[in-house]
Amino acid sequence: MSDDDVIDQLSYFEKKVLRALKELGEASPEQILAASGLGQLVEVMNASSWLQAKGLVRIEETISKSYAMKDPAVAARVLPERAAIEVLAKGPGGKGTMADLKRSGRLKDEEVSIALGWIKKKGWGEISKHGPDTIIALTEKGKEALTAKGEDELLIERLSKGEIGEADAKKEVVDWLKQRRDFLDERHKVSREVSLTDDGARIASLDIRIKEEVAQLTPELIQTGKWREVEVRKYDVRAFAPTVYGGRRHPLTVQLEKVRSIFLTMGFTEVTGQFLESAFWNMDVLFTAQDHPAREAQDTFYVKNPERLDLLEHEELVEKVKSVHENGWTTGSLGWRYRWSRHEAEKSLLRTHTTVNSARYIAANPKPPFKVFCIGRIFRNEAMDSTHLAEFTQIEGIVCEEGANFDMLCGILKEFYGRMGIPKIRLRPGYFPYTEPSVEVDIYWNDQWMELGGAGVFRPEVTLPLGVKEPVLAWGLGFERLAMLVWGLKDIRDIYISDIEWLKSVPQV
Amino acid sequence: MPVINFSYSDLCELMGRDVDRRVLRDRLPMMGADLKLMEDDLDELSFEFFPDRPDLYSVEGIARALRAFMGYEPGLRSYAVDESEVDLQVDPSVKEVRPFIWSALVEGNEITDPLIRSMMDLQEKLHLTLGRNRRKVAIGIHDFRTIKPPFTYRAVLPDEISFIPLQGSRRMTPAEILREHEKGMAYAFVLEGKKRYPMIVDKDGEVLSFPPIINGITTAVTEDTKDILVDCTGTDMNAVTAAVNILATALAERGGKIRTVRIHQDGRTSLAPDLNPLPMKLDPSYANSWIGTSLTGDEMAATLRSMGYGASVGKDGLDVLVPRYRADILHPVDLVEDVAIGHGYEKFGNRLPRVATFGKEDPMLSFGVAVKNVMVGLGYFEVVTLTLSNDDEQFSAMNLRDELEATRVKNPVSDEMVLVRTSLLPSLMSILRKNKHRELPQRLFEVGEVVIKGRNKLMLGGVSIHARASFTEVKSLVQSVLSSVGVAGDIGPMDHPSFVGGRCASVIIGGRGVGVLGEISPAAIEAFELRYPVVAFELDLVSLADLRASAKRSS
Repeated sequence: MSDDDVIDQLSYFEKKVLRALKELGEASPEQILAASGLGQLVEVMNASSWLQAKGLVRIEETISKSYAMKDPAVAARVLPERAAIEVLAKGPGGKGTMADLKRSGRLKDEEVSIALGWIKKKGWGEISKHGPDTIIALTEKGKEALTAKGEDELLIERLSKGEIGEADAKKEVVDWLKQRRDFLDERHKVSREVSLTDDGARIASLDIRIKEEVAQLTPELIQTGKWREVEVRKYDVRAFAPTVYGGRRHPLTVQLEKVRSIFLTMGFTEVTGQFLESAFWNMDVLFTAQDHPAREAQDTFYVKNPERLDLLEHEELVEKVKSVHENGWTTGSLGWRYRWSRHEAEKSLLRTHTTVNSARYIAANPKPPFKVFCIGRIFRNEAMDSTHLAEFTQIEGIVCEEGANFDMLCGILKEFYGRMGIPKIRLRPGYFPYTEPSVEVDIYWNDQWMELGGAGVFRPEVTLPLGVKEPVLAWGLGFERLAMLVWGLKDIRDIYISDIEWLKSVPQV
Repeated sequence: MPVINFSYSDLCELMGRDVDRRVLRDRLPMMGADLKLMEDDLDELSFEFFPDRPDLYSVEGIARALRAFMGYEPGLRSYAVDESEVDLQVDPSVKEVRPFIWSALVEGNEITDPLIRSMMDLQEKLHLTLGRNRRKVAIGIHDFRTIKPPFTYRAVLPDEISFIPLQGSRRMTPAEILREHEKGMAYAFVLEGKKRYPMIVDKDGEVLSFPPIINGITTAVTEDTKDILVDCTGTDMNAVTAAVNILATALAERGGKIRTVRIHQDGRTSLAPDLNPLPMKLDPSYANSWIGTSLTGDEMAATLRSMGYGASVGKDGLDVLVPRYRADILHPVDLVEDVAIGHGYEKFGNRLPRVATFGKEDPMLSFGVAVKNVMVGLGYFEVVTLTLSNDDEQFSAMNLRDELEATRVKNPVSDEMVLVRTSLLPSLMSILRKNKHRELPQRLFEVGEVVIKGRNKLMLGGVSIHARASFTEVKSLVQSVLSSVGVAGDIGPMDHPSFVGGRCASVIIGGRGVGVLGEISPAAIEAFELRYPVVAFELDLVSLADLRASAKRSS
């Protein structure tokens, strides 16, 4: 990096510190603060450490010890051992007992043994036992001490006037004071000296222009043009900033719209329908036998109001569907060979598949070509648990054109699933009452085959009564199962609970 | 769909050769099965088969189909059927009760554990599927040596006779069995409302079976049994004969010899079972055009033979012989599917539609998408909720009564889901409840369907919950939505039981009410276990789209 680049990247504070050091040589932060004209010591310290990181200054730290009295009031008090020898000196022969010391009123009870300890340590007296009494006799040293202060006492006197550096006190004496509880406070002090490195000295000698630095662009700066004279403080781009979410689309509808656009770009027409349907459209038209298990109450939600939907609008179709069920009509089928019940067909229900919408579309538009799709809610009478919903979203497409056939259906499935982002699918035989041949679509996911959708060519028993002669190709899938795979959900119900944290966590694309 | 459990070694024995498990894993699905369980060190296998193929509900049937499909024994499997002197008389009294019966005698069986297990499983699966839980078909299997022909199938009065049923310890009348016996109680529904009950008895009046409930105790098959009598009764002759054919041929696969029973009914005598294959014609060009292949007649016949049919090229198309255990062939298209399976599904998928069509979106749904984007722009989170609801959530909690005739389910699976919602607001309130421990403010919306008087309607609903939620906030929001879809509306006072009095308004456009907005009443807030003010709105998107369209026309 060139010197110009280095200068260019110096902040306002750094420049101020460099300039001050150029004057001062080696200096403490306090001295730099005074010389630089900066406002706060922390600005000096920050700038110095940034400069140190850039190799422009050196910061040397020294740690020194100093001492002070913990409580200055203690300094004014006479030491217990001195009080004791003063009492003893008044006794006969410079002697006395512990009891004498206690009685004297000069020492508190708890100080007596402290005093004895120090008398012994300082050699001021001899302590002996006479029966129950402890007798203390002053020595010569003790007598001398009556008139001369000890070194410890002198140090206490000095400390009472202020802090003393480590070098100004005898270590031995300091250690004595340390032995006394609540006497001495040992303080550690870091002092820093900042000096220019060779690089720093060279940079500082160059022309460093200092502009005023601002933390934030303000309307005033912009409107007055003053922005030209200031520098905007650099931001730590790695510093934390909270994520904002604004509003978001639900992941399910984001995916469904992708599916919708796949269909639209493949030339399909979108259809919708009603939740409330008759068994006729939902099942009979689709050649589902009236005793088929899917029509039982444990599979289908039947509706109470209205209990029936009349079929008067579709009399002609009703007749054809009836005979297709009973004897195959003119389709070449044997039919189900039972008596078809109109009563059963009029039952109202919540649609069990979107295929009912396809059937209605074909009935209204039987002329090929047509390509139709539908995305909608369907209902199954199932208890909800982690893998089952009573209500879910089905995706369905149908294709009919001259020459349509099963091979084309399989081709469409590969194309469709490929566009859904699933490159590898397996087609195997399946069964649906209204398609022949029928296909199960397996997708390859996490190293195994998973069932994800069904397909087939509508049976002639379905299409001929609706007025279509060409084969109609159809396929569908339950969308939630795919969604669970994509989002790794353990519980399918979570899709419809819309936990806000989950909504925030799932990508929108 | 029925899951069939069977033993791998038993399957190999029935196939007459060892078949690699990996081959089964790959090939069985391509024949029409879903693998459920297969582990290298486990003899037990488990596959699911489709409802149209009850002939595959036994290991015997699976082995038979695989032998053809894998090329070991293609073509029609024929079974020799000899006549016997056994008679079964059908009394006209059964017509009102359970009109059809069919039967077969299978002699010389070697009763082994795998056979007993397979027969019990097959019987159970057939009862459930083909038999529609015994309503349509019920099956009885008897040790032939314990009973004396001729047999009679007739209807008796509820207390007319008595016998000891299987799993019973004393003589019981049919009425007692229906009341007290475990199976009687379980299947009494099939005979509900009948004045007489069906009964199969032998020469001495001993009861073989009380269909579809239980057999007599004396006829049970044991390891000493050699000859087995199969009876099937029911309400659909096709299903009844199919069940007999499937059972009898499964026994024959293990070496049993099938013999006929003479059934006398309505003055006619029939020999049961009839295992002569059914001839059908298949036009190869029809089959080729349906599935998109270009197989020659011979090639197509070969694929059909690999699916167990007899097939040869005849004068006008293929002559196909359909085995009598196949109960699912209604139309030539069913043979076409088997041509496709025999050909191999993995070979399909080579073409795409050739006719151009133009994609067209549903305008209402596109309008919904546009509105969703507006709401997201306003800082709202989209939610998606279920449309099935209940009175508590939909009405009581919102301080409402069902005035919109909610579509109600006749047979709800739980108390939670008894009706289709008429408003989005309760769903949104429920989502707020589920998020009550999450940070505020929360602003949610849904574009979703409700059903009013039986018709679907697309609605937009929104809620905002936080300490300072107010009428002004929701009014600003609704104004923004209206302006963004290009309609102008009046916001005027209204009363609505879900909202605070005097802080609720309706949106009126061209004299038509299209929505409601306001501050949700504290009672409703409490009912949804919330603790902060909530404001909400709901707009009828169908009306908005109409009004927008007419506004565009007039401008």
